[in-house]
Amino acid sequence: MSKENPTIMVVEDETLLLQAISKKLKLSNMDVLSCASGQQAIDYLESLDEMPDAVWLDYYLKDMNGLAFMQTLKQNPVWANIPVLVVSNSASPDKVSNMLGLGAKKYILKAEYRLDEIITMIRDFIKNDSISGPISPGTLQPPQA
Amino acid sequence: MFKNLSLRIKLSLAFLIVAALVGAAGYYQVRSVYHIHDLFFVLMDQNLKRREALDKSKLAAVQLENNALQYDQLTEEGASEQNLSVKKAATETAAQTLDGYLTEYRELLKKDTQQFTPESSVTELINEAKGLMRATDTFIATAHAQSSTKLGSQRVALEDAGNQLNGTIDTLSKLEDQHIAAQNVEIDEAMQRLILISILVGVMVVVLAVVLGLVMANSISRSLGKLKEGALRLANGDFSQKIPVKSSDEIGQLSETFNIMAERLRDSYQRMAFETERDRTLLESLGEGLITIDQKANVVLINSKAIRLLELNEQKVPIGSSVSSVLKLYGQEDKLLPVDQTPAVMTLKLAAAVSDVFGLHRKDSTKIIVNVSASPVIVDGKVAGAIMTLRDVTKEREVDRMKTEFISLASHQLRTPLSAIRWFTEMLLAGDAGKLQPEQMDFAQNISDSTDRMIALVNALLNISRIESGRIMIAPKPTDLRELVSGIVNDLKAKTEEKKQTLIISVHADLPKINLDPQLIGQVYLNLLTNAVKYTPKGGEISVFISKKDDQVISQITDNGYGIPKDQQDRVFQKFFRATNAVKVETDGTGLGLYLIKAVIESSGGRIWFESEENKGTTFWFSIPLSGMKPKKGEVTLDG
Repeated sequence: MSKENPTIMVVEDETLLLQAISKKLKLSNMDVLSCASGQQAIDYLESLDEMPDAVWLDYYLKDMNGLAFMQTLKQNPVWANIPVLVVSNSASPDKVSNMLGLGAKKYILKAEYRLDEIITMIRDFIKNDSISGPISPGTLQPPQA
Repeated sequence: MFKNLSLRIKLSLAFLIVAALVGAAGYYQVRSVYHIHDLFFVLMDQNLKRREALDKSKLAAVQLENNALQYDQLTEEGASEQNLSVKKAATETAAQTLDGYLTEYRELLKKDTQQFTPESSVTELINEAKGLMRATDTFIATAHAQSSTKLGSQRVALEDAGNQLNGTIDTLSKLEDQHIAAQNVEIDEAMQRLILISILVGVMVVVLAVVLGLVMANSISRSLGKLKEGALRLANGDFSQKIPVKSSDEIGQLSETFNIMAERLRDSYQRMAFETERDRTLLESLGEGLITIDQKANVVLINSKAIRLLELNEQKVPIGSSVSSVLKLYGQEDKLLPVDQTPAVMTLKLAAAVSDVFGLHRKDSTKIIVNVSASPVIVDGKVAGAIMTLRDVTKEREVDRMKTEFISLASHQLRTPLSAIRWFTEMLLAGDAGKLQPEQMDFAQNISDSTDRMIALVNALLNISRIESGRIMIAPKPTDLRELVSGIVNDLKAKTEEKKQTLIISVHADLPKINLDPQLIGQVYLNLLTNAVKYTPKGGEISVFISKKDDQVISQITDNGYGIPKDQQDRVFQKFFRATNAVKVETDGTGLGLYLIKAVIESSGGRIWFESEENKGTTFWFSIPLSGMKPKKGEVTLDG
């Protein structure tokens, strides 16, 4: 990783929540890309040279839902590997399985967790991501039959 | 009074009356015959004899007179003394004969019961006869004197005496004749009267017999006629009119029995009519369409709701036609259901109730969704037909969908502001906005606690709506209950350690894995154990026993905590109920936990119950069938 602080993209259309999340991430020594809509997030990704280390995604967005956003992300090979944490108001079985099927790392219910608990989760994603990255090729296992 | 007599007595009475009349008439006739007989007897024995005596007297008187005259002539002719004495003897004999007859007559008269002839006439007659005899004696005595003058005067005296006696005898004879005639008339009259009365009595008896017979016959026939009319009316279905019962004889009793029968019949008919009408009204007022079919799946009965639902012609109800020609159901992918898969055929074939949801095409090319339930009608162990109910569940489904949507929306809408409160409070408490004063810290902590409680409440409410809507998913998988409970106990470790409580788990050694939804049943253990921990004081003991009894798995969660007051125990499973002692000890709590797990257990085919004593502790038991839970497709899970 080239920089000290991980960058987290937060996609959340509720401004108060976005404000709270951003504030806490920053206080937790993370750089934040605050996006109030799905389109804004995609525009951001297109313009950025460096991809964020993780995406905090709200499922229900005013312009699109989490499913559409994930599909867009998966269509771009550069974006496809960014770990995504879905933080939603609703965790119906079909939504959860769809999102995890599209590669989301975790799907959690918004009101059930404290911010610091979620930030710990994100830290774990980033850490695991870097471990499973090309730094230590010896740990790579051939794909199982 | 005759009305109260039996028919037999009535008939007997009528016969007796006729018999008495005949008897009376006979008696009278016998008496009349006797009377006539008496009259004849009198006539023969007295009147005629007297008449005869009179005739003979007259004859004797004439002979006496003639003999006297002949004696005179014999004297004149100078006849011998011998001849004269013969004649004289003849005269005396005639006189004696006359006297004899007259005596006989008088004796006869003495016997006369009718006292017909006046005594004076008889006396006169006797005197005259004596006069004649004296005149005869005188005439004979003077015959020898030959004095013609004298003789002539004696002759005249004789003739006068003779004539006088004759006259009296004639008069009496006339009287006797009159008497005989009168007697004859009386006999005639008596005879005529007898004949007349005989005819009259005969006629009367005949008339009376006829009249009595007619009256009896009429009365019987009228009563029978009324009975017949009543029976006819009854046969024609008129139960309203009663046969008037006027007598208490056999017909009266029959009428009364008939009336009772008619009344019972009317009651039965009324009840039947009521029941038929009630059933008809019941069928018609049913909110569901109803079709009854026979064992060949032909329509027997169809109510108007079904007619409207299937858009059939109300004037031409398809009784007798095949139900599949009337009820065209569409199944998966909107394909017309093959006949052998229709609920009607299935229920007849399986002899069991079937129920499913199908599509129905309407004439206006809209589609509705109907729930079709078919139940077999089994008579003497054989399927005789089936009853099918059709319910339009289109709206229901729509409302259901809207309800789910609302739940989803509510969860979304409530969780967003709750998250904001939670997270901002968390940052306040963490000092992210600067260090708080102790009191500010307290307040913020209160906000945080209340928010947590509100979030728990929203979750519980959502779970209850999910369960109640029946749209919760049940995904059973073989579950090791020891593992499941251990996991939950582990999650509660922080709490139990804080309260220094001991928690024991004991599981039946041979308990197999049970096919159940771990999330749902986990929620049950979690709620019961959370309650046990919450409502048991520090240092308390909590135990979980899982055992097998028959075909059930019984879980027992026991604590030695505060217990539930007796007077509140019947409300334990009610929504939002919290025991008064529990509220004092632990302000936190929704009052929804037990309600929710009761719903979960019951939807899994199990049962929950408890025993509790205040300040001693509480034990909850719940059962789950060893066969596990049945899977169910659904759109929601707990805590989704």
